[in-house]
Amino acid sequence: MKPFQLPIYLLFIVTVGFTACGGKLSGSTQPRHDPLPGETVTDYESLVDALHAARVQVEAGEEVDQPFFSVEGRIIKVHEEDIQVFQYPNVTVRDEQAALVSSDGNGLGTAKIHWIGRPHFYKKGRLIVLYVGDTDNVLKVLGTVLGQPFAGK
Amino acid sequence: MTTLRCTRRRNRSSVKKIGWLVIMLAFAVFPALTSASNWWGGYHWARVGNPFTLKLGDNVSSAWDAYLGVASFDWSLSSVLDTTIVAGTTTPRRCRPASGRVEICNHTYGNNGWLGVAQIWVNSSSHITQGTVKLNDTYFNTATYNTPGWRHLVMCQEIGHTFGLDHQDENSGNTNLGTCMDYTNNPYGPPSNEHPNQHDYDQLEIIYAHLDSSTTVGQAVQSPAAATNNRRDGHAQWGELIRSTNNGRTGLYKLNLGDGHKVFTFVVWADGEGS
Repeated sequence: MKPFQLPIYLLFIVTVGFTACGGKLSGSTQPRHDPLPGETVTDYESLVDALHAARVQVEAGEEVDQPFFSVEGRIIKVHEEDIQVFQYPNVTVRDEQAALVSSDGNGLGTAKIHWIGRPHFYKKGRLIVLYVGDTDNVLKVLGTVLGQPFAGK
Repeated sequence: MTTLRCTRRRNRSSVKKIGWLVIMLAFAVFPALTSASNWWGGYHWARVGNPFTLKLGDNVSSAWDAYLGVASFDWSLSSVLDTTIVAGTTTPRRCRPASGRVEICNHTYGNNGWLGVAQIWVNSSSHITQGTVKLNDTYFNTATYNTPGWRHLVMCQEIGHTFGLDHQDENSGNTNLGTCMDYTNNPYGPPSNEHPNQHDYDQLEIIYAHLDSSTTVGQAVQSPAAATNNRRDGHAQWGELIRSTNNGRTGLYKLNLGDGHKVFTFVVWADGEGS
């Protein structure tokens, strides 16, 4: 072996060694990324999963039909409050529906709604989620899972 | 020459300042003007003359009859429009619209969060072509909302929307404005939010100040029952007095004809009559 060949040989061994152990090494040095509650919400099931992940008890309720939305919704109960969940075929359709909602949540296109409480509209994935009420812990968990409401007070 | 130039500069500067002052004042005043308006999106019924008569299709149950009658009476006090209650054309559950008129419905629409919904259909000219009002008995059958105050307020407000009126105020927690177009936690107030107020009538006059070259309002056709009622004479023939206002000078009577048919009669008494 020529004298200059030794460092190259050692470099090769070190490189192969690191490559072989790559998964383990990167796994031990980089922080593990657990998705935040709501980060993966795309549809009804993933919303329920996200609520469970946020340690919230969820009860399935009845179906709900709103005259101003094109799809039927499902009610889930969170902290004993009704949350209305509307799932659209895709995000484009969801956005078309969401665009109809006035910023205060009292108008949808050419409909005026007299709510029993303050409306809060959220959108995430293929969903529009509606909560009518002001219960703090409900608003908090919805904020965690769905972000800020896009309409409502 | 120099002096003159300076004077001009000062004048320009003063003009600029005055200009900014005017703009600032305009911005300060404008919100007040806009908040005073409760015209919903410029929507209105097209018609060729005032007052025009809008038909309210009665698809409500007996529990709502009196409230529909009172709301119709209240809104007909407007100088630009009258309403007349006619037989409904739809099932309350579906509450389908009919061209040129407003269908009023009540039903247990479910736990959907709303007491009432007013829906209008508009054409490309922002002219209302038809409307519906839905009243949700799922809530009105509960102790909280099964009160004359809530029923009057919501019936009045939803019908008001179908004329093109918006809310005057959407804060439920503040003092009542004395109009059904104001959100509240307590319809009785005081002041009561069960009926329109002068601001609503003034707004209607603004909305309907102009005339259109065509109409989207259906022709008012008197039902046989109403025609019969018009030939009747005397208080008793008009049935029960539901509401009296203006120191008894105006009155709303309801006559049950059986099989769910009712006739509402609005009476404006001449001085010295009606008592």
